[in-house]
Amino acid sequence: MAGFLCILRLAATKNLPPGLFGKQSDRFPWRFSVGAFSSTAELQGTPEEDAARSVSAVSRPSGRRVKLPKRIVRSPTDILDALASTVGKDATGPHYRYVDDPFFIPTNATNRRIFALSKESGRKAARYMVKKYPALFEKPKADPEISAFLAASQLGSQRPTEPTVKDIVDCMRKGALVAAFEAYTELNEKTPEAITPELRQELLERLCFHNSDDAIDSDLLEEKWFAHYIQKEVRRRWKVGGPADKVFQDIKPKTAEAYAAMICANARFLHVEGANTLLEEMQQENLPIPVQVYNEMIKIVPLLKDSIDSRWEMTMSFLSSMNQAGVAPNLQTFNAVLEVISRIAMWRRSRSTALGVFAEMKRCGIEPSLASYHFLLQIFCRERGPISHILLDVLQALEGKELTLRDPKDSNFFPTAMDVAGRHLRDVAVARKVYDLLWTNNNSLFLTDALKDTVFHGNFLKVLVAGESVENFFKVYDELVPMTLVPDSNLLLEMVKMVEFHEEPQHLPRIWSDAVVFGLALKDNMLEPFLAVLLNNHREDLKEAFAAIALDVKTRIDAQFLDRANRIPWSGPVISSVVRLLLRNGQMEPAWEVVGNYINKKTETFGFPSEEALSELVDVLVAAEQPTRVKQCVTLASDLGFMDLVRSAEDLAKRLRLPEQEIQKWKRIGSGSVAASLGNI
Amino acid sequence: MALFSRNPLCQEFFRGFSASLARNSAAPLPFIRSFHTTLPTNRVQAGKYRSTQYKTRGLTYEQYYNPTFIGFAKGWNSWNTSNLRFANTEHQTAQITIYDMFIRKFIAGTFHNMFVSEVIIKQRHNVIYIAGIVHQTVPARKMYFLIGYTEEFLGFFLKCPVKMELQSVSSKKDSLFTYI
Repeated sequence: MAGFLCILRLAATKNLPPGLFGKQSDRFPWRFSVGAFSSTAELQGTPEEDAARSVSAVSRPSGRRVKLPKRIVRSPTDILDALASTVGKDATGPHYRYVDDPFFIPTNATNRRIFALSKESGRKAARYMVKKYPALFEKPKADPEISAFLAASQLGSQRPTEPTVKDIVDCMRKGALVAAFEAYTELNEKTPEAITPELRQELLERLCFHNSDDAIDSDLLEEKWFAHYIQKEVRRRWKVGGPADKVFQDIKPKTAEAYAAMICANARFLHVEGANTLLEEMQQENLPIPVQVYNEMIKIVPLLKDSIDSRWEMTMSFLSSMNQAGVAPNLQTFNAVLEVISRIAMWRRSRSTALGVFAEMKRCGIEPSLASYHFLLQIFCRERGPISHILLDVLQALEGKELTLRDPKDSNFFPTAMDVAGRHLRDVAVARKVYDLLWTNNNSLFLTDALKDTVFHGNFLKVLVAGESVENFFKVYDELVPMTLVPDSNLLLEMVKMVEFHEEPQHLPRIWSDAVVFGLALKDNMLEPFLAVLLNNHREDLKEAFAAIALDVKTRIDAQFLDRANRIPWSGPVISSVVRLLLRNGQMEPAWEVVGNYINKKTETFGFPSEEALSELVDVLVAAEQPTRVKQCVTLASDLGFMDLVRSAEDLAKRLRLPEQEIQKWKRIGSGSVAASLGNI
Repeated sequence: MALFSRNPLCQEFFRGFSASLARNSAAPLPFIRSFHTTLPTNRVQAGKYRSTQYKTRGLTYEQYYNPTFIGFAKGWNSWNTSNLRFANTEHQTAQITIYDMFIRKFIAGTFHNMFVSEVIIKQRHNVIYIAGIVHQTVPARKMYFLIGYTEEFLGFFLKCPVKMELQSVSSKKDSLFTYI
């Protein structure tokens, strides 16, 4: 009880959604009743006295009756919800799907995917065992038995010898539709009268919904999260002449429900001709057409017609036939119309028509869902179109509202909104508003797969990179990276540019270490520009840190396995930058090693070191009195055609105080044959 | 005889034995003094590790403390309510113990040579949590596969949700507490 009171107290402080704990006045029933009593009895005094008097009054039989508050009906998970609402998001820990241990926490995007899917793959392997050897899992018996944990719940691939109606129902409701259809076929041949029309209709609807495949296991969440199923499902084509078509043939006479299921499925799985033919049949037989059929037909209008006008004409004809038949439109109807408009690119009237649809929606008393706003943003904020600030109005309309998923496309809203805030409006304040909206209530559930999650957070950081101060940016960056988002090399490069623009190069080493952790450091689109930025900064206090980065690059490139398929070779600009950064910090040995390896062809290299790098190295080598190395460098310069360096060969030899004979040899490096000059000094 | 001299029980036994023999014959007993070839089984004890000559046997914290320290310096390996009076699992002590052993054997086979600690099995509500420290012998992605496999397999076997709570060490030495 004490725990429960604690929750109530928390609920009062945390501003829980209304409804969870009843109305404001109902939240503290005991206090309310005591207060009400004392006020009616018109007693004055301290709260303690009041309470004592009221208790004694209750015990008196002649006292006024205490009004007990009405019981608030709660759902079984209300307490869990209340507890969950007191816990925020932990930015420092990994997602619950990963083990909270450094070895198990994925640091780059690939590992995030692989780890989660590996775990799921293990689950599938176990399920395979359960399916193959169900007898091993019969004991121990559970009490009470929970069907989800029984090996029988995994069956469905096992065919019963004598299928009954119960087998069909069991298989069908477990999602084993292939098995259900097999049982159905067998039973339909032997005793078709045993199958009721309701059963046939249910089987047809389930087959239609899943395109005659087995249902996707709802326990296997990770695959759903990472594989972007929703998009895949759209790409899947309708199985023409498949189980659903066969069950539909068996239904005689054809009912409106059967037609409706078939048309919706044909349209959803992009078999547009089939959907159109069935609709015509349905109209000929004068069957009432339900609203879902109209919705699905409107959605495929862009596939049926090509030109802008004919598309709109067809949409309007569906709407007017709805009107004639007296079928009331619902949210999905309006969303379908908006989708059609959003798919007609470059239509002059698209904006005004979309607003008209919204007005009509309001007239019908239908609250727009997030999907409606998603289409609205798509219509108004086209990539090459004029800038529109409609997102601000949308955000205002959504403020303070509790959002629920009412349309499958609702989940597209947040990525679209962030995209508009970032790329269309380029406004940090708006982006932050969208971000805050995502983290109010349970709105983060609208990001339904990994792609949307990455796009949303990636775009958010990209807006901030462009418009925020370095300090503010890193505040958000630390919150999101790496647990929520692993940035890509584009974002890291943008960060490098930001740091350069604000002249705060002290952040560069940190960006480098992040790039290393995320496995992006040696990517060729990252490495060269990053090193170039390091070279451009001449801060005295940072040269040591920058040289450490250069040394890190060298170690990492050299440490790659020779047989690695995607090995990253040295490139000319990288060699030059590494050498110059090392020399700036007075590290001659590693710098020479890089160039020496290049000269002796010990490393795989594309391109060649630059003249500046080579002459800087030569200067340092001369100062260190290393004539052999200097000569190798000068020879290399003559091969590469850096004539300034070659011309100074004589000077160098003199500075090295070499004998006259040698000086003459060095003079000939540029003019004579290369092979001749490679002799010993 | 000298072998058993430290064990009072054995001394008692042999005293009685020699006395009964002595009644039958006055001669001294030659077989008692004979060479003993069996293992000194009296020195085998449960829960304690014998120290080595050069202190080379590594022990984990758990192994270092005798079973008498359970509840003081270390905890139990199985956590459940079957030994509590009036608990609804009161009569399932044997069953739960056997299933815990099954889980341990399953883990030993599935995470082969990976666990460097004891397998701790906790039953909370209807969930079984299996905790322990593993050695990083295989890449993390393979470890995740094993975790998923174990959770699902044992879930179907024991008919309740099973969860694994693992921590890892890069070397087996990291889990050692002392050498004896």
